[in-house]
Amino acid sequence: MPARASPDDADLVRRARGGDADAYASLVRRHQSLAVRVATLICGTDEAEDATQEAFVKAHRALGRFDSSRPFRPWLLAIVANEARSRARTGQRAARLLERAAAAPVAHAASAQEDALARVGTEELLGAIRRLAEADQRVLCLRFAFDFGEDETAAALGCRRGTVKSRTSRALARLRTELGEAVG
Amino acid sequence: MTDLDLQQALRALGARLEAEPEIDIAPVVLARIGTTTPRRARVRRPLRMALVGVAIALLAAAVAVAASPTVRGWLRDHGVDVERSRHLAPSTTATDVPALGFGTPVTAAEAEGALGRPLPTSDRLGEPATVLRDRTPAGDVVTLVWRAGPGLPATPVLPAVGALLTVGPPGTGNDAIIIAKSLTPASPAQFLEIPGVGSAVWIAGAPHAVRLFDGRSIGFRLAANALLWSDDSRLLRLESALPRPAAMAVAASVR
Repeated sequence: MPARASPDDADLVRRARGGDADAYASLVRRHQSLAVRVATLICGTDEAEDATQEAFVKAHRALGRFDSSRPFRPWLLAIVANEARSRARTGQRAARLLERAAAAPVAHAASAQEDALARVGTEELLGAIRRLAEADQRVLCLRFAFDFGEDETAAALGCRRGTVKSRTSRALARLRTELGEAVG
Repeated sequence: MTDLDLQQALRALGARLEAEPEIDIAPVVLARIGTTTPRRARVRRPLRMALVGVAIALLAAAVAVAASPTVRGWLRDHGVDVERSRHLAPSTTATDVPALGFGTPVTAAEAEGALGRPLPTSDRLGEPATVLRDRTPAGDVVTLVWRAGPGLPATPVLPAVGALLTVGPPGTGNDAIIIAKSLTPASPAQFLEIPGVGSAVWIAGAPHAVRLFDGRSIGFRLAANALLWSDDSRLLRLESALPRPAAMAVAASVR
C-alpha cells in the first residue's frame, strides 16, 4: 500500500475548524518546537513553554478568523511572539539561547555551517552577540539560527518585511564590527 | 570574515538547537481547549467578555483541580512526599557533600551492591566525583555527585556541586516514601513528557527544600532545580542548576 502523504497545514486547519481535535494536535506537534524557540528568544526559557501553550490555545480560539489563503506558520508565530512579549522582561534572551546551542552536541560536525562556525570561533561569536543590542540579537537569531524567511521574521518581531531586511543588514554589520573584522 | 560566514555560523548554532529533545505540549493544549470548536461568528463584545470571563474561571478551576493533584499524585506514587505551603520548611544550605543529607561516601561497587544493579551512567555527565549511599524504609538510595565545571554550573544552594543524580527504588504507594519535599508557589512543580523517558516532574524557580526520608531526624536542605522520573524499576532525581532543556537532555542520556 503506498504511504499516505502528511496532510498540509491548510487541510489540518480546515479540519480543526470543524472541531477535529486530532487535526489541531497535529498542527501543535508540527510547529511546537519552533514556537517554543521563538518564545524562548523573546521571554526566556522559564516562561517559553507556558507562553507557547497559551499561544496555541489562543490560536485555536482564533482559527475562525484565520485567512486560509495565507500560510499558517507566520500567523501562528505572530500569536506566539505576542504572548511571549507580554511575559518578557529584559535580558539577553537570544544570546542565552545561542549559548545553550553552543553547549549542545554537534549533530553534523562536517557541515559547511560547522566549518564556518569553526572559522569564526564559537566563543568569539557568542561574545560578539552578547555585546549586541537585544533587537540585533533577535533578528540574527530568527533569520539565521532559526532560518526564518523575512515574512516569518516580520511576524515574530511584529514589524514590516522591509524593516526585517534593513535590521538584518545593520545587525550583521554590527556583529562584524564586534568581531573586529573589516567588511568582508 | 564575510556575511555569509557569519550567517552559516549562526545556522550551525541553530542546527544544534534542533537536536534538543522535543517537548510535547499537544496533550496540555488539547486538555485546555477541550472539545470546543473554534468560533466562527463574532459575538457582541459585552456578552463575549462575560463568556470569556466565565470560561476563564471554569478553566482556572479545572486546571487548579486537575494539574496539581496530577503532579502530586505522580510524585506520591513514586515515593516522593510533597508538602505545599506559602512558606518553605526550615532548611539549611549544604556547604559540602556530607551535609547534603544524602548519605555517606561509598565505593561504586558498594553502591551497586546496595542497589542490586549497575549504577546509572550518562555520557553527558561523565564519571561522578563521589558516590553516596543512604537507607530509607523503602530501600537503599544512591546518589552520584558531579563537581561544577564547564557546562555544569554550581548553584548558590550547592556550592561546588554541579549535579546530583539520586537513584532509589520505585515507589509503591503511600507506605514507601523515599524523598520529602517542601514547595512554595515560587517553586512550582510541572508535569512534562521526555521523549524516550516518559513522564517526569520538573521543579524549578526559587530553591525548594528536600530531605531523604531515612527515618532519622535530618532536616530539610535547600535544593536547586530538580527533575524526577522513573523507569519502573527505579526512581531517578536529577538536581542541578541546569535549565529544563539541558536537564531533560541529561535524563534522556541516563542508562
